[in-house]
Amino acid sequence: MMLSADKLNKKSPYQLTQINDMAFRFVTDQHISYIVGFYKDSFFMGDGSYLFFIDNADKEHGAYDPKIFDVITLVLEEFFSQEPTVMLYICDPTDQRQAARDRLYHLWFYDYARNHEMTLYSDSVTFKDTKYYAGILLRHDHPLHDKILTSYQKFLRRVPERYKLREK
Amino acid sequence: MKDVFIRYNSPEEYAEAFQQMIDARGKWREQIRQQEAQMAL
Repeated sequence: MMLSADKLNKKSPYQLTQINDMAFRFVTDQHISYIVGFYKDSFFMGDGSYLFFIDNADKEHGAYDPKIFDVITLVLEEFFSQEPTVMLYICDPTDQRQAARDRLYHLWFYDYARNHEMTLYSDSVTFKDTKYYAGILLRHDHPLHDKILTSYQKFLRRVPERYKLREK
Repeated sequence: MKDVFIRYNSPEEYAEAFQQMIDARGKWREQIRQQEAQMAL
């Protein structure tokens, strides 16, 4: 799959710089730099699913910027337009702000799903004493829609709270 | 029909899969870092 910055930049409020086939950098009016993109998933589905990441590269925080949602909307529209595909996400917990991130993601993705005939499912998973917020976004007309949703829900439920390393 | 979902057989395997999903962020960041370094050359 290839997402084109040239194509997205025709409508994007911020100029996207292409980093690879599925990742971009952009800088906001508040001079905060973000990287947004997708990474092929090989843990849930063998093919056809990607992890979504957005990274505030310099860990700077600014005021709420609605244009960021506009950029993400365009990226998601392009992502979901190309082939039946599934987007997964796990909110970054490294700075203990994952709950705030989950609220923001929910704001973004719930709105996106509602306006684009998509299904959003999200849940929290406690794993190794950390609460993770994980979700999935897919089109209503994905040929495997119900199976994917059910399987993802089962996958999250089966992650144990306590992780023991397997004996080699 | 080929199974589209990766099957796991134990809680440990689910844990390792979820751990890898978490670790994917770091791998993605490193991939980006390397690619941007290449672009800068």
